[in-house]
Amino acid sequence: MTKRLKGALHAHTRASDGSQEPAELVAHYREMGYDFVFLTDHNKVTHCGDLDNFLVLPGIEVGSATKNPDQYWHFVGLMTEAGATPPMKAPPDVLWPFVRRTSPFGFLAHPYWSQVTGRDLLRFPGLSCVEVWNTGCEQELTRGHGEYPWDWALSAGAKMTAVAVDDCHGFDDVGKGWVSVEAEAFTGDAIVDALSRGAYYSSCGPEIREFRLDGNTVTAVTSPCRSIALIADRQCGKYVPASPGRTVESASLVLEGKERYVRAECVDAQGRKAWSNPLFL
Amino acid sequence: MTRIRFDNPFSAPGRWWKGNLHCHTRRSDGELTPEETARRYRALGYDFLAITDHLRILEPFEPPKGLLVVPGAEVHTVAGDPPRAWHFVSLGTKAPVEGAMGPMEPLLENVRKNSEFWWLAHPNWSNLAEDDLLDVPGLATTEVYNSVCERAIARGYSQAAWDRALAGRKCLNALAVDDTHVAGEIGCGWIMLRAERLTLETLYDALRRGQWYATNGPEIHDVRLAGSLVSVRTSAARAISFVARSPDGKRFAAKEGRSIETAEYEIKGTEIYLRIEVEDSDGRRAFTNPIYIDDPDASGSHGGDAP
Repeated sequence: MTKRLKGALHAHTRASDGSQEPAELVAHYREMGYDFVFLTDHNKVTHCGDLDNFLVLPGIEVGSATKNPDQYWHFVGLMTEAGATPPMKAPPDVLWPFVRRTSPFGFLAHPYWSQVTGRDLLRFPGLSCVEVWNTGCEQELTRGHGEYPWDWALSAGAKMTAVAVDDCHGFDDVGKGWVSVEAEAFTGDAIVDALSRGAYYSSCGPEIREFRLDGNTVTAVTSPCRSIALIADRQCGKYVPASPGRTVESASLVLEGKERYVRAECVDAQGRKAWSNPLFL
Repeated sequence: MTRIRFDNPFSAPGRWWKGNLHCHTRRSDGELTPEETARRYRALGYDFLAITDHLRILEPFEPPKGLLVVPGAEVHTVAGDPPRAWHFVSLGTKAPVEGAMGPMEPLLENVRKNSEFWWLAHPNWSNLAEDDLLDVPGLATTEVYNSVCERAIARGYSQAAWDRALAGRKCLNALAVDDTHVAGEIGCGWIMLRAERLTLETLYDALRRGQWYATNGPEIHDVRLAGSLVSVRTSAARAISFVARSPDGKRFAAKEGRSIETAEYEIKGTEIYLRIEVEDSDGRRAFTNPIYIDDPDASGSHGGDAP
């Protein structure tokens, strides 16, 4: 039996530049109905005990600006080894291998905020996940979305999944972007295993209840939404808006056969989005 | 000294003219005749409409009273791996060429030579990497919103590509367009152009000088630049964002269930560029063209042909 678990993958505490104590922040997430949180302070692994029926898991965020000030490189590692210490002021080609060495799962953070492009995502061997939503970057600069580089990397053949995260530093950026993971067990290892397999979807509000391929038809089933999009490459895909005053809860697309991938997105009445991982074709 | 450059349409003499610059008719793959298309745009209060059929130059016809019809064309090629669908739209076009599977550069050279004004269509739909825009010779305008690309396959918005080019010190303005193919697609993305009079010549001139804002819903009533302070007044918005090279810029969001109509931003000098984006409660957006900010202490300055 798998368990559906709601979790936060990118969170800062007072141990780096966040404004909440670790214990305060994890209690906050638990009250909001989350099942787990990874604490991902800058350059250090923060520890904090589990709560009743709630997992507090270790992670890290490492980052650097290169010589080109137009781009930043931030990577997040999850289930990071205790005591892992990143090289300081290292270039991205050193930082990403550090994350891979010390963490069984990792991803590139906030590409739009960092001015990282789809082409850049192909640079890092083993990089297979990127943030498609970052609450902090959206609330601060309207740079929270990562669909553009994700789609481009997918169109180039990358097998890349994407996560929604808060990247919380304060109080009003908590609980607005999460993953819903289908894990084999209620443990950190099982959660990271599910993330590695892409067995999750990302959301700021709506649910994605099904996303499946039957023959050559892709179908997404969601909570009531303003629109559902089935997004693919090579000018394929489909957008299904609700009729005025109504909602839509499912959408289907007959594949043309030239798509390399297809993924689902939906938007609820409040404008909040959810994202499935891609089906690789 | 920071140098701020902004040819501000909001303080320019004249009035606002509403128009769509990307539209297909029965002459290529559209549903309606040019005459019927023009009639419907005028009925919605548009002041100008460019007819930009694929590989065709518009044959003159009697437009409805009050509508300036602008002749144009769209050409395309597919190149690269993964494939990029390079589509260029031009106005005042003298000689459209056959679209062909071939490199983008010769196609573009022909467009540049044979038109009064041109731009890059729908980067997101076309699968252009964000940094591809930095490699387009002479590029001064892109689409940031293409309604048909959004309504067909949810690939209508291209802010990520626009911002990457701007952060790379390209001067680049942006349009919202319908890219109309059927009747139901009329009136979903447009620009408000500032000019004293509306003729083909004044329109081309205002376009070359970036004298517009682009929208698919919200209105921008005023933008003012006083010293280094930028202020904006809009229709009811869920958020007003000053978008710059990261980590500069700022988003102002309304409280849950409320709206805002003004915002201000103090230019620091390190932004490279600053543009204003307005989002309403239905998720519709409006975009100003960028203000360009040169900091001589920083490396590099703006290239490109714009202001």
